[in-house]
Amino acid sequence: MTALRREDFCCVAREGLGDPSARIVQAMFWSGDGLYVGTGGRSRYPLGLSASALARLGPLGDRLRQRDATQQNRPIGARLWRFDPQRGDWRQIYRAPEVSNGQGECYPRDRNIRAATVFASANGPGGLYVGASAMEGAFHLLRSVDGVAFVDIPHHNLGLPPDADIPSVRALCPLNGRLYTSPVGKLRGRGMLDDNISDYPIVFETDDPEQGAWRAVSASAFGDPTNLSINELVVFAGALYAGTLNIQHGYQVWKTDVQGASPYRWRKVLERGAGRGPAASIVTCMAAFRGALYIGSALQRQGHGGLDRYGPIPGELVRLYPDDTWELVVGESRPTPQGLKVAMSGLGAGFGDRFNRGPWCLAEHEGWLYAGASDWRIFKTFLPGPDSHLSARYKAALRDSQAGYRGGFALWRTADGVTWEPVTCNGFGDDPAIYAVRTLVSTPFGLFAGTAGSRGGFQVWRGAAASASSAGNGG
Amino acid sequence: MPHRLEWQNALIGAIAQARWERLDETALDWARHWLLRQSPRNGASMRLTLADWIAPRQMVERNLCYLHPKVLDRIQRLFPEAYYLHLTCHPVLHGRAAGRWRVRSGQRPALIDLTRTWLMPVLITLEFFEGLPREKRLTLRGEDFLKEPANYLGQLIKWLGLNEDRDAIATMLHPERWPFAETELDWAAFSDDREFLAYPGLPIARGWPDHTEEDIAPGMTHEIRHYARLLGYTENDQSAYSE
Repeated sequence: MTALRREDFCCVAREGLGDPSARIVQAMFWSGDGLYVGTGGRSRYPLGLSASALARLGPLGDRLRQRDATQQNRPIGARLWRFDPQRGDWRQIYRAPEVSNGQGECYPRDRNIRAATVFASANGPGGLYVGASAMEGAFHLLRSVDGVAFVDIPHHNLGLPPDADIPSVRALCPLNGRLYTSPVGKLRGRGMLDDNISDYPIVFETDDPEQGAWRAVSASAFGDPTNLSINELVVFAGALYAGTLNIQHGYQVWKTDVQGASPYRWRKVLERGAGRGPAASIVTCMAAFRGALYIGSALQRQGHGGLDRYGPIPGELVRLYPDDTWELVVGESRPTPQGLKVAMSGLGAGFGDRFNRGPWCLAEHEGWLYAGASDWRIFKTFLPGPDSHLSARYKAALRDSQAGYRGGFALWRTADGVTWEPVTCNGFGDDPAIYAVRTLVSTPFGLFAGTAGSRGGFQVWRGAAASASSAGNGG
Repeated sequence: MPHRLEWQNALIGAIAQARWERLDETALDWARHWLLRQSPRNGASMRLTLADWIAPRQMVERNLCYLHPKVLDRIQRLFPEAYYLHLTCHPVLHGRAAGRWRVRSGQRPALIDLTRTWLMPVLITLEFFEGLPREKRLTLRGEDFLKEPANYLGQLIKWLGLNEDRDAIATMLHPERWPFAETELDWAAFSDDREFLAYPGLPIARGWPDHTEEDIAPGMTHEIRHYARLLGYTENDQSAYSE
């Protein structure tokens, strides 16, 4: 059981593997002897707005389009890379096909890859499954049996109407020979950065993804219309857990034993952001570790616009047991209907750092649980405006902390879930644009960390104890 | 804000209660005499004396007049062992209570300045809390407390590191049975909280507001709504929150 230190990490990919506009590693998994990395870029229209939203802006929308065209900000589309750690080389194995809108405009069909898993059904050969977000229309589901060639498989809109707005999936979760997912994002009527809110916050199931035989196995939004999407699906202790986005009241976590006829019986095991309220609006990550399910949470949209424009509001980490009791691991101690919750780790929200937006990914590696975080300072939304009623002293402190930020993120580790130690509090490198660890994957060749950056392309780092780090450090 | 005479009466009441554990006119006379014999002393010194008298019991203070950054810093310096509970209230409920108070105190109804009466105390408290040791600070929504007072009182006692005494909790749940409520004295003269003393039972728990009255809505600024959310508040009717 070797704990990884900052100096055990080396960069195996940088600058988006040649495409600086690929800023985030949104999906990463290990299969066979290779690491798969799914990326992508911006949406088809400027500022992430929909065509209709741009039209509503009138002349401003026209100017945004013109500026976009002048700057040649063409979306790059989804890409899937495979890394061979023994040879240290990268290979692009999927690139979104170009499609035409019939008016001479071509664009990549898929925006990015946000979900991936390895799955074997009772009826099919099994393989690698990837969810590709769509630039227009519904998402696409891809499958590969050899780990190299990916082909579309039908999903029949998950059984929803043909015009259902389901541009993306964020989770593909196998359990007992079945595959589970839930659509996220909106293309129609969306605002900026609405990549999570969904018209169909429903869990879907299939035991035959090759035929696209999906069916709903939960009520819409679990019967609570304030649940705006189901972002995380994870298996723990034989049950399926779903984490929601709930801006109004705070996130919820639901579970089912997937027994009996569908829709299954779901039970709410956490609500109101585990007692924190709307400041914990979204489940950002979930992972099982030593008999408990660890759940990270944050404020959705990282402070962009509306009620989220203040901050910083650091994220939290709780752990849930199979009997539905829970403990606060990292966060603000508080009274709750279930009793007084005191942070087990002794660390306040954000691991004690007010600018730590919270864990964005969790992974167990060689007996340690790692939590990769996102830093709030890359977006200056928290800097108070002239009408703020914060004290002059506090405003100055916020401005000073921003001035000293040179990029980076926090990565923490624990062996027992209680005692947490920082691997790094300011990232691995010196790139000021990198602000988060978005994905963590444990492999026989070390722990891989995929980053998020505001520009300049994503990075992938490999953490391996000194004795295991002789191979695969190229890149 | 209480007047100077009310302050003085409140202190006399506290001295009588702490020193002689009596709440009658005789004890109050003794307290007045004791106070007259003292050389000038500040509030902190007085509180230390009161704390000595009631030991090993703990002293609880609640007063909005402490909500000034310099005062809070001074309290923390003088009482480094103190615990701080931020008992919050929904801004709309606060606005309603402020409106009722205006009417009861004979003032003309007016728009409630939630920025002054709700937001500023919240911001001062939040900023002050950031500088406190984590184990010394706790925030609790008053509405949650009133829904399950026995549950939350038990948690507060646990947080303070005290024994969870069921009898003590049962007593706390019924302030209308406390000595000041049963005495013939007009206790309103000996406290800054006349409204509570007039009706000393725990208020009835109410749900969060589903609408915002016309005299409150203009005060519900974007900033207030943000900090209300940060404290875990929402409103059932979204339209009441819209600008």
